[in-house]
Amino acid sequence: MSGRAPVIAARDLEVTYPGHPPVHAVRGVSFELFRGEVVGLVGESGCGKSTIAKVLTGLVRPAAGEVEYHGRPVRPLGVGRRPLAQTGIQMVFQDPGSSLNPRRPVGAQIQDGLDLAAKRARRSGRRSGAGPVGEPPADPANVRRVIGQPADAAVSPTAARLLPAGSPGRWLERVGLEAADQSRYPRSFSGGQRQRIATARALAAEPDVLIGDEPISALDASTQAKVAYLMSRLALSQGAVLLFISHDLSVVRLIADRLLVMWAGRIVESGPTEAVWSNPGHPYTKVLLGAIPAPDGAGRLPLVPPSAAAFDAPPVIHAP
Amino acid sequence: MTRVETQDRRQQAPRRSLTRRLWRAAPPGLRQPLGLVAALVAAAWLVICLIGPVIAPHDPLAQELPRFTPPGEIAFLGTDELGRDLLSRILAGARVTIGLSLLLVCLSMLIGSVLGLLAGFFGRWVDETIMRFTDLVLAFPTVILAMVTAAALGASLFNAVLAALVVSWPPYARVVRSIVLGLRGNDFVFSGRLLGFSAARSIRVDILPNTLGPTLVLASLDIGTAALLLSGLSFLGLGAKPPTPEWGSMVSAAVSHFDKWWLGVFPGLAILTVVMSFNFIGDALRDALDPGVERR
Repeated sequence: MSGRAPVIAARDLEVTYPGHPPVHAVRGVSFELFRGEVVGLVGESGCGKSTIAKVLTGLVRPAAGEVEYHGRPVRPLGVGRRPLAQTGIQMVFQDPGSSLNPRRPVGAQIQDGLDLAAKRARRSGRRSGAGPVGEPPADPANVRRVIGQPADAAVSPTAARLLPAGSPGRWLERVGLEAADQSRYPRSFSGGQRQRIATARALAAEPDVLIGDEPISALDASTQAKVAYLMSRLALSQGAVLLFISHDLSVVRLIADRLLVMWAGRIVESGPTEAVWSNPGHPYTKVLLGAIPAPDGAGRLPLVPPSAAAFDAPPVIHAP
Repeated sequence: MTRVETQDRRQQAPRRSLTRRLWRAAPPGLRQPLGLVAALVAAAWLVICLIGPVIAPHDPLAQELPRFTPPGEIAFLGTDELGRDLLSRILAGARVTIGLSLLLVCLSMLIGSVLGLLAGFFGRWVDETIMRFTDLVLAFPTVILAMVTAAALGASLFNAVLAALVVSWPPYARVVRSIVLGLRGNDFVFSGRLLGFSAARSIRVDILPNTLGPTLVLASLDIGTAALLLSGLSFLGLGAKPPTPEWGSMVSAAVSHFDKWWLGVFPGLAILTVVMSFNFIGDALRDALDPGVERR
């Protein structure tokens, strides 16, 4: 993939949170994300995954290093309005309870995303909503198939083509809800539905980078794969890159082309999903894979945490 | 609850009487007898504010009846030292006392909310400046500061409201600021900012609507306090001037005729019922708007 320019790239990111002693959340992280790929960022709680997401969007200022978006540095978000050029980076947050404003109908919230896309399109002189949104991606190799999960399982069968492509109702249908739901408030939706609405809101802004910060960790097991699959399908159909952050390798594996394994603020292993899954090289990755419960009735406990020596183990990079 | 039970309830619904359905539709706080009585009393006072002078049996300023008539046939609640009808004065005074209290509360809410929103949203030196000033005002005893301000401005009803305003906005600023601090870390506020919201839009769309509920509760609890403060200033001669029928100044005038009990008791009861009813409504609103409380 080195022949193409990355859409977004992290260069030697260091993040420190103030405290006594200060928390060194991210210690020298670099990676590049390319158009049309789904990358899974996995690791245990507190390893710095969410911090990475916040730095990429500009919500957190890195202590050192920088984020480049289309070759230009991402400016940390201050009090003022976010630069329009950077609004192509969008994010779906972790907590379904607070990812939507409880006092606004969901349609109005999706409209915010549509307004932003229209505004960016006006600025760049092209028409918004012109892309093949909602259609299956041209390259089937881009989407990893979920076993027993038909491609349009989450999409409403009544998906009406009558609604304009850039309408909140149409977006609700794309994420498997009904157009009539747009006048309802977030409290009348379940956690999984809210995360789908949040996904619709972020994608309606036509981003080319979508970051999912543990968007499925608060959902039950049967909904997790559905939402993860929906996010990757819709993001890819827009030609966006999806950075999917999770502690749960078993779900990430289903959608990700490439994995970044993070531990204690560093990326300890990276490479194509299958290579990492079948041939983990770093001691921590082995532990992480060993922690996935198997439904074989053996009732094994996860492996013991890696020893301190694992800190010194060099990062493992699998060739693409 | 099982699905079968739910269906049973739906089938029974049409047979329920109108009052029963209204009762069930009311906020939970109002469904306690106390809340309901308070709501009725407050509603009655608000109606009197609107039509008080019309239903008053006499001109509240006219000195046409015998002086110091005890409650009875000539005057239902008696007459004062100038032969004015007490009932008419109380009815006419509702507009002054309650109207000014509402005005005071609205203005305090406005000033306090704006300052609280700015302090909570922008943080840093904006927050420090606004909140230290708020602390400064809070450090003075409320009534004393209001008295001093009213005395400095000169005795009039308008100045009394201004003086009361000086001391009554800080609680709003503090409450709104603390709500905003909590909201600011919410994911939907971040995602609004990521969608390119300006600070003003973020405040208007994501922050302000979520502060209104708790602020309204505080305001309804505060109406009683405002009425007391304004009456207190009038009682001290710093508010309404004679012959304006204001409840606080009526109580004040009654002090010099202590044996004529009706002069003080009836305006006092008016103040008491207004303060209490709005307090109960505030409690009821708080229960209704608290998302932790499920409707049953």
